[in-house]
Amino acid sequence: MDRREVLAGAAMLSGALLGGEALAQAGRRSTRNFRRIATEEAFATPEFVEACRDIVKAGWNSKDLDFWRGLLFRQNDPRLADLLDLDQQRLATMDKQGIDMQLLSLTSPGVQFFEPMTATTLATTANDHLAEAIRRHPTRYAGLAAFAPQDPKGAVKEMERAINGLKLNGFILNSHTNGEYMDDPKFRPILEAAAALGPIYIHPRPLPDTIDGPYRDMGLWTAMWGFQVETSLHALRILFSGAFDDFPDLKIVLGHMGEGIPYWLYRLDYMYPKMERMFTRKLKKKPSEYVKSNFIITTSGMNDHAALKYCVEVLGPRNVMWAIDYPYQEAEEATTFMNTAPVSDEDKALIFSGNAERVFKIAQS
Amino acid sequence: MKLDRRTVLGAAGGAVLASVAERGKASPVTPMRRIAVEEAFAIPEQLAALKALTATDLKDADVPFWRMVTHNDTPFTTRIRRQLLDLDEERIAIMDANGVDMQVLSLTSPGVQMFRPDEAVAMARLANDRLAQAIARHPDRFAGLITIAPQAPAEAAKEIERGMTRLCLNGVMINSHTFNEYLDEEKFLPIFEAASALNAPIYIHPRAPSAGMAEPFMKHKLETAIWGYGAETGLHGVRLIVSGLFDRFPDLRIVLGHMGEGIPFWLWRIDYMHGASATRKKFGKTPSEIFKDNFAITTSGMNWPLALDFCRQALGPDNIMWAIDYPYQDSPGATQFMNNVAVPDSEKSMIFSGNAERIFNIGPR
Repeated sequence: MDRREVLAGAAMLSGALLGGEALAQAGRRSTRNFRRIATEEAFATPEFVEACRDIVKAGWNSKDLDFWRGLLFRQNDPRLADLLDLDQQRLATMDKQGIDMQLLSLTSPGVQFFEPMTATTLATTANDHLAEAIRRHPTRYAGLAAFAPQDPKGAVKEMERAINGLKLNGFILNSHTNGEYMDDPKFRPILEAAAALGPIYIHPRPLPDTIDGPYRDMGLWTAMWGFQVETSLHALRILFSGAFDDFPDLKIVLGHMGEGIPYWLYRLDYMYPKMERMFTRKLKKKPSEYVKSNFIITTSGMNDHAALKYCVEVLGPRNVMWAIDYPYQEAEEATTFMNTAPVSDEDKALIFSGNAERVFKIAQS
Repeated sequence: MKLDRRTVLGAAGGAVLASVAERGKASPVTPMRRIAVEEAFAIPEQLAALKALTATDLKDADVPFWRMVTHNDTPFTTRIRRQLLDLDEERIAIMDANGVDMQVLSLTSPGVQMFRPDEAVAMARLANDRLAQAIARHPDRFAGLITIAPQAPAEAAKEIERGMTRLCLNGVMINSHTFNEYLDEEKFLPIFEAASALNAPIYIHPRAPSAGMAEPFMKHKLETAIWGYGAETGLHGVRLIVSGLFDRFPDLRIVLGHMGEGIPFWLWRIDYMHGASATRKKFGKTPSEIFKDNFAITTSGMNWPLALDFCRQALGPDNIMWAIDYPYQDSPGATQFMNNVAVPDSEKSMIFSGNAERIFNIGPR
């Protein structure tokens, strides 16, 4: 028996334990036939790391910097090397797990905590760097472009360059910028550009300093709870601002099983009509309809079969994409999670890559 | 069956007969006892105090809603005030019309938690006395949760004792934060000591987000049921889980409405992040074990089969209770949802009343 057969046998056994011939079949085939595109995969550039080092040294006090302070000044933190590498190490990990492609994005909070000129420069160099890596490994990488919301006009220009010039696949936004959210009218041109050019992946970052008190004192301000409050609220603010009526083609991608929004669709739909009069914009559709038509979710950081089944049922299998959140979460665990997921092969193929190919215009292999 | 005031009050007899026929249609299975566990009432003194408070320019995320309810006379506000204040004919007629055997009553959120300590303590006592009187008038139709003023913890502990032993009430109601403080703070320990000693479950009901986190919700009127309530109350639940409270009081039971305020959906991520952290204090159990052992959830405001199914799988059948959230949500919707949902009878009966009988110590029919 070769390695693949052993793995397939193990998967089949686990499928049988999960129950059902169909699942056993799915387990047997899942280690071989699927194209796998991971959609929330972080990288950094030397320029970006230097810029972070500069503001840390300048003593700037922002909660986002707590993380970078640790990463930059802890000796030999492997994640820094993992973030910077866009060649051997990363590809080796991908090969080991049978991951065909990573959709790369500049790690959170990206350029959003710099002053506008620095942010714009860093975004440009990061996007060039990313395009270069894709040129080196065109069948292994795709990319989400960074942009600096601090300068909305400049951001639109960079968004256009990223898609039309650099041939990237969409955009990354690490939630708020200086405590401001995309529903603010000044950012409307960005949403309009995205509707024409490509999806915006809204990735978490810590809540703004002014509003993280209740999370901070219990250490809940990041992945334990705060990230999903911040990011889900951002997405809903965009929804209730009427952006999807103005720009029906605008697509928003949310990780972590949609930052919890799928759980609450009933309540959003129930409450909205009762509160309609209080909102500044009257929406044409129900909130859940926008979630299904304009949002796509990913599995990043939620390697939970129960949540996956729920989201596939609620949103449909075409609205869920697989992700790892490399290098912050383990590739092996995320891959095994999806390999053994209790969904049909057809759905598995969509979630592993079919949806990402469609959503991010990634050529089929 | 369309319910309006005339149908209910003017033709109570006809309504009861119609409801028997309706009940037969809606639940063609074994008759079940139905106990709704998140059912609000008010006393005139509370509404008057809220009216006075909201006439000021007090900055609190609950103010806009309560200013509207106590100062305006619209069909909605007049109905809500009338139905909150009524603890007799209309409430029981609506219960009869929907086959609801019992309501577990609690003073409507935010209870007495916005008032000065001395005013709050007195008002809580008054509310509990009135509640006990209502139960005495209708002992087979009502049970009740004790209102306390957490802003005066020692007094609150005394009122828990009085409520459980003298008034024979069934647990405690707390409406999330009190003056922007959460129950994991040391000062609130007397409340948990009393509740634990008396086997009193604590229902943590929503209110709008605390000042430290409210601002971004208010921008788009998202601070109440449509989104903010869940963010506030879910945070409160997670704070309690990670605070070590349940190591200290292993028999303590916390009840959360709205399908557990989202926490069931996130159990995998909370466990993962808690376990992966090198710095977080670890307890005897994982967060999800604590949630399964020490929490119970209710269906209030989430009449959705998919979400119920998710929770049944995640938590098992013992700790899910049915609720309406009268008078804010309609009784037919909640009742028909639970009548019709595809759940085995034995489990449905537990959700409809068996679990509430056990958790809230309600005697048999």
